[in-house]
Amino acid sequence: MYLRRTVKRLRFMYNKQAKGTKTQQTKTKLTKSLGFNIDCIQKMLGDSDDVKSHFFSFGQHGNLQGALVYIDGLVNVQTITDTILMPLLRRRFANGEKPSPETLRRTVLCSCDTSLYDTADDLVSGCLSGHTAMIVDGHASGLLMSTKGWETRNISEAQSESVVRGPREGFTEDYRTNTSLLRRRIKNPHFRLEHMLIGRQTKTSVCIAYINGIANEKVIQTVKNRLASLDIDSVMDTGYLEQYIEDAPFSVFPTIGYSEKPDVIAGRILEGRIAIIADGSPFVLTVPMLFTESFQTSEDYYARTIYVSLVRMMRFFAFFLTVFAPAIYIALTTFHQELLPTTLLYTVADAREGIPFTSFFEAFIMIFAYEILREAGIRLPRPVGQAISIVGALIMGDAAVSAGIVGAPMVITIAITAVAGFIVPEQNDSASILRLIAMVFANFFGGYGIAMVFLFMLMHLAALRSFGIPYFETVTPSRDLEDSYIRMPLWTMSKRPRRIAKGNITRRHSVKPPPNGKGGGES
Amino acid sequence: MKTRILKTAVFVLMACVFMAMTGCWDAHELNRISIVAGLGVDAAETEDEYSVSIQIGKSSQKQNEGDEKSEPFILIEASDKTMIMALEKLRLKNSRKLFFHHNQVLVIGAAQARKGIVPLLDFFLRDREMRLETWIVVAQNTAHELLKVDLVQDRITAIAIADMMERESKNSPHLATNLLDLVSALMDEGSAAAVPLMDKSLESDKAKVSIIGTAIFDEGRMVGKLNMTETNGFVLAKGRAKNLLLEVGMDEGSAVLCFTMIDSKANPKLSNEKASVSLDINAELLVIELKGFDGISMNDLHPQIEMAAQDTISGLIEDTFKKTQQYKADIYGFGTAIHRKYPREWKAIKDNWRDLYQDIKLEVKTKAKVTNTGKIADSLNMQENKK
Repeated sequence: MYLRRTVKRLRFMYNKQAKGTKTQQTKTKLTKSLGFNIDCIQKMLGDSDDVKSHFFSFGQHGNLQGALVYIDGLVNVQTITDTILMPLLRRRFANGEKPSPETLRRTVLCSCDTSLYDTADDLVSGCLSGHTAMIVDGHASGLLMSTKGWETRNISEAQSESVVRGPREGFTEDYRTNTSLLRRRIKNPHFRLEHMLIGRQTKTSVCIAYINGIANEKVIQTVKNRLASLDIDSVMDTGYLEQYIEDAPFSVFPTIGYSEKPDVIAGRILEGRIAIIADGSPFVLTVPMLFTESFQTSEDYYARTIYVSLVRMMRFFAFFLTVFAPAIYIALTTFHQELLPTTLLYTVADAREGIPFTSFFEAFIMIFAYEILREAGIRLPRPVGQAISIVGALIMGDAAVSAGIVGAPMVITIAITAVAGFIVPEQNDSASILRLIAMVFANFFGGYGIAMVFLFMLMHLAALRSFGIPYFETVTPSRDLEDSYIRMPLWTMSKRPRRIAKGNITRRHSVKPPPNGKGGGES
Repeated sequence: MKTRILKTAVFVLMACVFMAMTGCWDAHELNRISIVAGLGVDAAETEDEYSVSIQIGKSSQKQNEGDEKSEPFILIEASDKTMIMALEKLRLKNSRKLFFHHNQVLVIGAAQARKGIVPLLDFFLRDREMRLETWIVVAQNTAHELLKVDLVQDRITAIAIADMMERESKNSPHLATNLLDLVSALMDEGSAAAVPLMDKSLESDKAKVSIIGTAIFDEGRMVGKLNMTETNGFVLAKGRAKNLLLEVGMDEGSAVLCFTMIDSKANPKLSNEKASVSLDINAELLVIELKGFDGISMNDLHPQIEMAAQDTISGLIEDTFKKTQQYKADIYGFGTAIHRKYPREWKAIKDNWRDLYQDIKLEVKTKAKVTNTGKIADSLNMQENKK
C-alpha cells in the first residue's frame, strides 16, 4: 500500500514537472564571422582538451578561410584527411569563386553523410557524437560530416548465454554494431529500427526494432509512448530503461526479457516481439515477455525436438525445485515425518542428531552462505574466483557437516537448489526471493504453507501482464502450447504465437518431413 | 478506492483463515522425536495388565566416534491396564516425543495371544497415529524378547521383521498378516485368523529372529500353532502363492519343485447339516533341483513327477486340515463359503460351526503340471546312462 502511494505521488510530481520544463530553449545562431563561430563552439564545449579546431585556407590563392571542429578520439583522423581536407585543398577553384557550404557538400567533399545546420548547438551535439563540423568564413551555416571512428570491443562470444550448438556471437557496447547484427539476420524491408535519444545528460541513442506487419501495433505504440515520456538523466544500460517502462516494478518476476545474443533477439522479433536497443549496452530488451520465455534457450530450436522437449520439462521441474526444495525439506522433517519412507527417515534423523538449530535456521544459514559465495564469485576478479569455490566447497560442504553445524541431507538439498537455479537464469532473482518466502511458510505451516505460497504465486503470475499480454500465456492451456512445456518439431510450428504477433500469423505453410524410405531419395 | 479496501480486507481475512488452520505448534524437529519402529505387547505378571515394549530406532551413523558398541535401538517397557496408559508411562520415561506413524510391526507375546487380543486391538484401530498396514506377528515366547534381538545386518529388529513379512507377503498374501487382515478375519464369523509365528533362535552366540510357523486365532484367542510344513499346506489350500517350494520324494530319487502358479477353488456342500468340501487345486510347477533318477530321461520322468507332486500337495493340504480340525479353527474360511452358498441354512448351523468343522469331509483334487525344467532338461547322471 505504502509503495503504491509513493509511486502515485511520484507520478503526480513528475507530470507537474514535465509541464513546467517543456519550454523551448533558444539556440545560438551562427554568424558570418568564422572566428566568432569557432569561439562560440569552443565556449559551449568549454576548454576541454579533446576538442580540436583546425583552421585552413583553400581556394585559388588560399583566399578562402575555413575551420574544422572535432573531438579527438571520437573521429577517425584519416577519414577527415581523405574525405574533407584532401578534396578541399587539392581542388582548383575558378577565379573569385566563393563556394557556399551547400555547394561544397554537393560538389567537393567526399563524404556521403553530411548535413547543413545554422545553429551552433546543432554543430556541438553533432561533434559530441563523432561528427566533424566545418565552417567556412562568410557563411552563417556549418556542415556536419560523419567521421565516426572510435575504439569498440570486437564482436565476441556472449558471456552470459553459452551454447553448445548455435551461433556464438554476442552484442557489443556499440549501438551501430548491434543494429547491424540484427539487420544482417533479418534481411527484410519491413524490419524497422526507430531511433530516439534518451537521457538529458547522456543523449543516448535508443532504438526499438520490430518487423512491421508482424509485431502488434498496440504494443509498438505502448513502447513508444513509454519511452517517449521518459525524462531521465542518463541511460547507462538497457537495465535503466527496463526499470522505467516495465509493467510491474514491485513484482519478483521480470516482465521484460533480455538477451545478449543476436540470434535470440532476431528469433523473438520474428515471433512478433519488439526489441529495445540502447547504445552502450550489450543487452537488448524484448517485450512482451512471457513466463515460458525464461525456460526457452536459443539452442532449443537448433537441437532435435525429442531431447529438447525432455530438457524443457526438466527446466520447469528445476525451477520448481529451486524455489521449493528447501521448503519441502523443512516441511517433511518438521511436520510430515510420516510421509518419508521409514529407512530414509532414520537416515535423515541420524544426520540431524546433535545439530543445535532448527531445520529452518539450518537451511537459512546454508542459503545465506550460498548467496554470499555466489555474490563474491561474481564480484571477485577471475583469478581469485577459484579460491572462493574452494573455500565454499570445503567449508560449506565438509567442515560444516563434520562440525555438526548442519546435516549432510541439508547440504545436499541446498546444493540441488543452487544448481537447479542456474538452469533458469532469467528467473534466478525471483527464485531466490520466493525460496525464502516458501521456507518461512514451510517453517510455520508445513506442507500447507508451501501450498499457500504456491497458490499465491500462481495467482500473482496469472494476474501479471507484460505490455498487455498475459504473462502466463502458453503455460495455461492456450493455442500456443506447441512451444512451452515441450517443443514440437519445427515443421509443426507453422503459426507465430497468436497473442504476440498480430498480423501475418502464418510463419510458413506446414511442411511435413518425407515419409520413411519414400521420396527424397536420389537413386 | 473502495474496491481496494475490500480487496485488502478479503486478503487479510483469507490469510487469517489460512493461518488459523495450522501452525508451528504442530512442528517437531527430527531430533526431538523418537521414531518407534516396533511395538510389543506381552501379558504382564499382574492379572489384567499389558506389558508394552517399544523399540525406538537410534542413530547408527555416529558410532565411529569413540564407543564402538552403540546400541542400534532403545527398548523400553511399561505395564498398565490399558494400552494408552502404558504408552503414557513410556512417554514419561523418554526424553523425546514418541512418534508412532512409522511403527512397522505389532508383536504379540504368546501368553497375551492366548489370553486374547481383541481388547488391545481397540486402541490400534482408534488412534490416528497407528496404521492399518502394520504387520502383526506372534512371538513364540515374549514380544520383549523378540524385539531385544540385535541383528547384525538390519540392526533395528522391528524393521527387519517388517522386511521379512514384506518378502513373504510377495510369495503369498496368506503368509503375512497386517492389522487390516487380522481385523477383517476376526470380524468374519465363518473363519479364523492365521498370524505368522516368530521365534528367536541362537546361532553361534548371535541371536536371530526366524519365522517358525503360523499361530491360529479363533474368537480373538490363540488356539494353536502350525509348523512351517503345515503352514505351506494351509497356503497351498488357499491358492494364490508363488515361489513356494515342494519337495517330492520318489523311489528313484527326489525332486524339488517350485510353484509358478497355484489356484484353488473350494466347493462346499451342505446336506443334512453335514458339510463336505471339495477343493480343486490347479498348480503349475518348475523343476528346481533333481537328485537321483539315474538313467531315466526327462521325458519318462515328467509324468511321474507330476503324479508324485499331485499326491504330495494333496497330502500336505489334508494333513494341515486335520490339524486345524483338532483346534476347531476354520482358518480356510470354509464357513464363509458355506454362508455365501447356503445363506438360509447357515443361520441354523452358525452357532455350532466349530463342532461341525471337525466333521467336514475334505476332498482334494489336485492337478499339477510341470511346465519348465529350468536351464537343462536331464541332469548329468541322467545323460550319462542314456549313452
